[in-house]
Amino acid sequence: MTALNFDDCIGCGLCILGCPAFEETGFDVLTARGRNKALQAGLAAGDMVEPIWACTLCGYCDAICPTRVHNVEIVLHLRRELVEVGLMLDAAGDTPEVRLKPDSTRDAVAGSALASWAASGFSGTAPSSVGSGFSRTVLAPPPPRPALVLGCTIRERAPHLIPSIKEFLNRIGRATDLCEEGCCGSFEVEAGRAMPAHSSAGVVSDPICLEQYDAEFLGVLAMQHLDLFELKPPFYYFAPHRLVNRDHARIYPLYDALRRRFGCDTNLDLNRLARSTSAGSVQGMTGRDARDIGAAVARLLTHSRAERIVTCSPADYLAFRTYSGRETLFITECLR
Amino acid sequence: MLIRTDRAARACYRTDGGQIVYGFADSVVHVRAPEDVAEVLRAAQRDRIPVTCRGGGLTTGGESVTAHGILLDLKGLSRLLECDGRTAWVEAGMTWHHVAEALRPLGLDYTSAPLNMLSTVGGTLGVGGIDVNSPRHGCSADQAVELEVVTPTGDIVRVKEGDDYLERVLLGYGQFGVITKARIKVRPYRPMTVRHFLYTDIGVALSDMMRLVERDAVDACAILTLCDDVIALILGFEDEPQDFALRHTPEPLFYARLAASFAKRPWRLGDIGFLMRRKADLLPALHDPLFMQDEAVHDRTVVFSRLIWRYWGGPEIVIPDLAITKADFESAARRGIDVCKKYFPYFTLYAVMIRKFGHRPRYEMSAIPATGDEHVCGIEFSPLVEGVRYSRDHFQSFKNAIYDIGLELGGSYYRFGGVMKPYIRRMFGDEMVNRHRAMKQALDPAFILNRDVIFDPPEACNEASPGTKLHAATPSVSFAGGQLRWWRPQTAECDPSGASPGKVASSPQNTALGDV
Repeated sequence: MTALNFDDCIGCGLCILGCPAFEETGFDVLTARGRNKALQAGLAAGDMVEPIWACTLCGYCDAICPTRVHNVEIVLHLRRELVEVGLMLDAAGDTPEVRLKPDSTRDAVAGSALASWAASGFSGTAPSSVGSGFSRTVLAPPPPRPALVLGCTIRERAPHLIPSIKEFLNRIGRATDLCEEGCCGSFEVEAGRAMPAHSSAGVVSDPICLEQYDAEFLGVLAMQHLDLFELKPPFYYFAPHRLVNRDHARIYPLYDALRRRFGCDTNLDLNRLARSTSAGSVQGMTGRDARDIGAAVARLLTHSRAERIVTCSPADYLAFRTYSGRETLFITECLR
Repeated sequence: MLIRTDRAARACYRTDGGQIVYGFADSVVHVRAPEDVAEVLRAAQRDRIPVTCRGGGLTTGGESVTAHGILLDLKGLSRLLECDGRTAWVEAGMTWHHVAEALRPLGLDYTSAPLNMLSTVGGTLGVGGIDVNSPRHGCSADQAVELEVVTPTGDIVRVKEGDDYLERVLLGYGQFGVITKARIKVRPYRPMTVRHFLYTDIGVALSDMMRLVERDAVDACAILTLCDDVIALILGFEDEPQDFALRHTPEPLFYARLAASFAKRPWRLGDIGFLMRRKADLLPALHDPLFMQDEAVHDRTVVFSRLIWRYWGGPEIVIPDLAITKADFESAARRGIDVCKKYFPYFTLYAVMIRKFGHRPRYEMSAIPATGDEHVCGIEFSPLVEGVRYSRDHFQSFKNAIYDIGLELGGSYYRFGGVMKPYIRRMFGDEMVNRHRAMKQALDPAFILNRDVIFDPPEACNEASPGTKLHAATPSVSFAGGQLRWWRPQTAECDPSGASPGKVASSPQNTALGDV
């Protein structure tokens, strides 16, 4: 168990620079600094329902913190406390009115059944369409041999990507046996309803599955085999933010190399960290406390004139396809 | 605009970078447009509700903390509005980091901003803003050529260079209006090659820096020390680095001398670990391959800004400073070092120079001391606490001792607001302070805007004895359009601090304490 070291927060505010909740609302209280300062003032989880659920767990704050506060771990811990007392996502009674409006198109990203379930505060049983594993605590049994884990988003919302994913893995000699399990439960981990339970797999196609699987990420493999892809500038590459921010020393150089080689625009900022759309987190789903993914996409693309967007993150692929108005490709769709 | 009164929203603003003053505002107002600011100020003026502005929250004396009334968070004003290649209109709630990020795709950079890029534009223009570029470009406030300001009575006005009101608002410590937009000078973005030179004597290092600045020989420069053992002159070049005849000590000789010095004073051997640790913290950060390309630092402002927090690294920002003339630069540094040694085993000094553009009215009663010189000097002294906890009394006594040097030498300070307010009359004199206070009173009849930061309010806590509970406000305000909910009535401790000139009391009684 990592120490809940919120007392180490010195209030510098570096964490707000790339915080998606702050970018959207401008509210300090929804950032790591705000939560830590409130905790230092003696507030309990029950006093901070909105700030606790606002976090998208993108990991920007952990990566930039000069005093190494474990902000993601603190949020997950607080969520578990809230779940224990029934204060679920979107269920706060005394939080102020929040500016976010329901967005029906969000369901196109999250999947309508899953989104409705999220809007209910993850109460009750998960909808069947998102897999049978949601009601369990340990959800993903280890695959019998190295296998490809596609993840819920691709299976449910973007199955047309599966052939190109398999084709890419075949070309680099990786197994493409599909793991036919239901959802691994990563969203349950985010929602505070389960502890991470790591299983082994060969390759996962969705970075959120890395919450539950020890596996290689498809997008990283793609960066290691760039010659297999037809990437013509100008384009905008959306790097998987959690992976870049949480495993920065290993992952950032891959995407930086891509940026230097092609001169593409990316979601990597001046701090060399990755910005988020909030898609692919519980906050990317519908509900009062959800983030406005369309606005996040617009912010990310403010200075980019690229007409084409490429990504290796399935939820962000759907987000950009839905909201950007620009051609959006999953990395394996760019295979030569 | 949105008003928040929930405890979490108020708790996260209960202190600032200095962590000396604590207070829970009655409500936090997040603004999105100048009209929001105007609406709040009009209502506050009418009902005599204190309004305290907050940007990055990096003040050190409680200037952006309040236990009474409204805390006005301006970070929602956060857009780059337009840029013509030479100047850019930016909203005042943008942090300098966000300004840099917005300008970078245009191949541009700001001209001069604080080393700490988490400060917001509005707050910086109100107090000065000093950078390693300041020897050439002056303080950040001198980069603003036009402003949009909301007056304390709620009028939105545009002012440009030459206007009296602009001269009042720039370096005005938030007393005369709320800056909502600024047109600032910008310049082409260029990476920077950084060189450092080690000295054994602070006087020699300062003298070399002053010579370089007078010749405008470098693009950026500053002096940073580790106690007075390691004194580094840091030079930045945006073109090819040049060689100068400096009186530094070559590194092998420097380290040999340092070793000899420790050998003669074996009781200080333990300090070698401190020096090695700090060196290990500092140098790799300046050579981080993430930011290095062709031996030049890219986005050096990001590098420096992040480094600051690792380098200072204590829970509180304790950086008393002196703003003085060139003639007193060395004396101030030496005397400041003596004070540091008295209070802390480990400390640092950061010295820069700031170009001054003639006798602009904005410099009066500001961090730019009165002098006919083309440059003025700034020195910050900061303890390196190394994990040791010190009391607020100890920190405050240290700050007083540094500020007393300023009083004796003349000049000014960068941080003279909040709990350091009692030094204002001693430094600037009653005539000047009264004149500025009268201007404030004329512009802000109810004295509501940042009221305890610089001047004594008209009725400083005279409704009750210190420590008694006051009702901060009556919940009777209604806003046009019905967009706002008013705050819940709160009680708050009356803050009796700073009502009379004199040394800052080092007891917690001088702070505005608040709690949930």
